[in-house]
Amino acid sequence: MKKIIFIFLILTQVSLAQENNSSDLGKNEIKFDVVSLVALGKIHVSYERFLGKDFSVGISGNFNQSKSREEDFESGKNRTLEEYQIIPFVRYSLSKSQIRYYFIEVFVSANQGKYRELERLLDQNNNGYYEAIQKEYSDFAVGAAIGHKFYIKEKFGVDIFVGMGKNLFSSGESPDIISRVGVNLGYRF
Amino acid sequence: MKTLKYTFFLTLIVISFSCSKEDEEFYNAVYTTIPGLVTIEVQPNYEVNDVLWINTNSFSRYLSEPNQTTPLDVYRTTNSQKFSFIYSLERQVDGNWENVAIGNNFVQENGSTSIGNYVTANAIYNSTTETYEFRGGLRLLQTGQYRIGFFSGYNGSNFDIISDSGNRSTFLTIATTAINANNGFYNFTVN
Repeated sequence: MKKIIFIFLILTQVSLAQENNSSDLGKNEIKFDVVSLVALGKIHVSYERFLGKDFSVGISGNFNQSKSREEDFESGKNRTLEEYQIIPFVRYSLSKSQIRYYFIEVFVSANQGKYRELERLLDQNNNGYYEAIQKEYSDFAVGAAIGHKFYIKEKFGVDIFVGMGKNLFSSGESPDIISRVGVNLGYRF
Repeated sequence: MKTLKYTFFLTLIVISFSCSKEDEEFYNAVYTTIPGLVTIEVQPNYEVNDVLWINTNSFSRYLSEPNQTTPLDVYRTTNSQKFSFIYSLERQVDGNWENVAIGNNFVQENGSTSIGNYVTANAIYNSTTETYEFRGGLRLLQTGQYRIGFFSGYNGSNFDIISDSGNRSTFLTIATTAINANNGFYNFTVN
């Protein structure tokens, strides 16, 4: 989290010199989250469509590729292992500028993964024993995020966001809370 | 704009601290209550140089678990080669209970022991008898009022006997009692 705040501060200062209120930007943007890949081992790609000055809609795909998270799950350190999230979102700009602005976001997330649950089983001699059994979960979350976005040369976007959502159908299988954190590098066209 | 920036950072900090720690919680653990896994071998009178024995003779691999109709196989659950519990010897001095340094005055017959301010007793699994075995004795070197005390367990009244699970196995904590102890203590006099 400290790293994200640090990157946020650096990039915010870089963007200060470029601020203007131009609206001559494309309607589409594709994005890739470098920080998630490096820090969390997740492939996180997004597409965002701008509907006007204030609103945009988009969709993100989040796929776990982290060996260390796999190992933590396999070794029993973590109870759950998220495999993927598909996240449609709506963003609303809080600033007048389209080059550098804060935004709020509402999102939903279809997420799936693996989890372990402790169960009491019986052996062939009718003796009980406990074992952590691996199962699959699927859930659907709603949540919100807040972020900051700016453009370099009106084409290359950087957005930094943090938020969280709550899984609606969790009864101990999926994580109660899912996080939505990232630093996207995008190209607008 | 400044207010917005501060709000943003504040929100960011709050969110980062309020994220669920559910996944970091240790899930692979079982707590149960099974009384009488430890026995204090009492005798009517104690003289100086007598040995007071403690054993786990009734600690089978298969234990009756509360609210279950089938025995609990603690070895299969934990893959643990030992279960441990802690006790101490205290002597009454001027009305106060003081810890007695055990030092070399411990006699080991079964299992293993680590002795510091307290005795950590390890009941070792015997695959032939399918029991966890410990028998150790405290040599009583002075006259006086004594008591054996067991450390309080997670449920507040018993004491814990804990598995040494490894390799993804389930950790098992059993709140148990010692036969011949009363509320975790056995009081006796050495003449």
